[in-house]
Amino acid sequence: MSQNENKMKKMLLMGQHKVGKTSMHSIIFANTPPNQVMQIGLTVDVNQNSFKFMGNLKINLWDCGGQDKLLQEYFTTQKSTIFSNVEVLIYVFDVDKEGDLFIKELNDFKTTVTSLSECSPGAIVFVLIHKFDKIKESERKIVFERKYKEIIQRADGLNIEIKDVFSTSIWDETLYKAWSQIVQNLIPNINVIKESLKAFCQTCSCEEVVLFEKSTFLIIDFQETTEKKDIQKYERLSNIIKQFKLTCMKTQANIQAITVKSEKFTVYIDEFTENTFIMLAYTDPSIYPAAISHNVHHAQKLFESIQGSDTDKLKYLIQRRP
Amino acid sequence: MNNDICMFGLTKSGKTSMIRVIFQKLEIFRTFQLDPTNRMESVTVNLGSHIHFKIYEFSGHYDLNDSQPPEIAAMETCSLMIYVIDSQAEPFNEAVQYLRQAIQTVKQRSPHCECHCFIHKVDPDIEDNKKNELLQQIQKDISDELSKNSMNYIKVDFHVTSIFDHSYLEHFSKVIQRILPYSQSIQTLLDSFNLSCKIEKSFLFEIYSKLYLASDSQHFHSTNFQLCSEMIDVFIDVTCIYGKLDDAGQSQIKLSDGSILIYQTVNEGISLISIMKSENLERPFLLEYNINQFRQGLAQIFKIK
Repeated sequence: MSQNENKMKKMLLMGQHKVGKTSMHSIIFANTPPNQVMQIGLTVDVNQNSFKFMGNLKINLWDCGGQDKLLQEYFTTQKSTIFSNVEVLIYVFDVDKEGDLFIKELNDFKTTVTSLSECSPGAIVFVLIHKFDKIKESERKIVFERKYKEIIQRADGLNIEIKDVFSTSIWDETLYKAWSQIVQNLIPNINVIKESLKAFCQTCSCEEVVLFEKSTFLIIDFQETTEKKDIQKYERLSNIIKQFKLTCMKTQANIQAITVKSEKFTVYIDEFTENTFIMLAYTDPSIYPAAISHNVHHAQKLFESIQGSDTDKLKYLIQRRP
Repeated sequence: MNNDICMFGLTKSGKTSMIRVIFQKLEIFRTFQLDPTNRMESVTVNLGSHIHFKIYEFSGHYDLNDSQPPEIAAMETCSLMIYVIDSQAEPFNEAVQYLRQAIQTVKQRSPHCECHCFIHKVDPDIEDNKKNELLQQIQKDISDELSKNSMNYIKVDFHVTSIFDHSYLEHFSKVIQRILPYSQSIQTLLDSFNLSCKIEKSFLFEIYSKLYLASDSQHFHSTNFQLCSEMIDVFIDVTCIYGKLDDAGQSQIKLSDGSILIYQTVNEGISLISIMKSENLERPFLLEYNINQFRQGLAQIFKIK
């Protein structure tokens, strides 16, 4: 059965007011640069935004304004409107809040997750502890562990799955890491994509392959031929390329391909399918960019001749490989 | 007189922020937390292996009538003065008066010193006609103040800047080029490089500061400059992840409007970034040959003191 039907996935974005929810999704989805989010005003109600992702995946993001009186309404009169049919809840904490303010955050969190478990029992929850740039590097681990414990404890006993807790900041790659993981959970047939990418990586005999979504540059998947420990680097790449993309947009142009080559490595980033970019990294200095692009274009040609969803195309590609 | 730079301006006008961001890679969002400067601070700048100068930054509270010997000595070595005005801090009377006094003091010590005024904090969200209004108002205020003090003959160059876009880099670069003896020669060399490869625009950048040392004689478009300076970040960040920045490298970025950006390391810290139409990039070996010619030409220029 093909995945041609448009799938709408509802995503709730909640947290107290001024924690940075709107800024976050503006940066990731609407291409606002981080140094312009100061101009974003308070969200006064619930703002719904739709984003197309990976072809037939449509994300319906409910950005819920966080002022106290709004929160009260969400938990009472608007409860079933807000909390039904939710696939993912993203709850955002402000790392700077301590003492009573942190306790209030935790209580609101508990009420939110309780309401969610009543109306959307299968939903998964991601927690972001945001604005981590305000914490000194040396203290980050301790602060994160302390807050993590409290948060997990509040959700204990409730019939809900906290998939992951992230520390984030709009000023570095941690934002991309969190949102990449969140979005990966929504992509249908992500396992097919992973298998396909693995096969592609082996066929191209490169060390690393990363698949990025085209407009957000979030990571869909990555494969490595040797086990590397530094997964952070792909998130840094998301951040770097996205920054450049924003500058390009001022000139009404879009990135088509990027090559960076030095004595010890070659990195090649190119448009892949309608909704993705692919990155290949080689540390063999004898590989020429022309050879790499030939491999990628060959794969693309196969794609062009097939109809269907992205995942079907990738499956076909794998079956066709000698 | 050496080729040093002195910077003046009222407190919180943005002098320290600019210096730290350009020369010490301070993240822009951290500049809000900077402490005020004490009296006078100096920064030694090395661009590539051939360009060295100092920037003397004078505190916003600096009493021009109370100059100590080291400060006097500093002013004597300066061939360029940058005055920073916070365009968001109206009225401008105090800033304008202090500018006039600073010019008088510096010109006493270094009569041939060039005067540049940065009309700063003109941020990207401010509309164009408001930007022009500010520029005109401040220019007039300064001109009136100089006239009042019989200083009509003093030439002040104005620059509209903000740390939130590329204007601060663009104008700091243009000002630095005034103290570089080679800018004209490098421009000629770049013109001939462009011609040989059908390139539309080239910039010679120092990559750590992202200041451009020279460009060709083609018209300067802000957007070209922005793309090229952002490309430095792409090159540096990717290279730091996969290799070492010391190694020579190159990069190409193809854009959907048919243009291609080409980055090429020239020597330590200096890179050439060019923009051309991708259809003109037919023979990569020709490009490589011409870049080598450029490197040799540049080495020749730097040999001449």
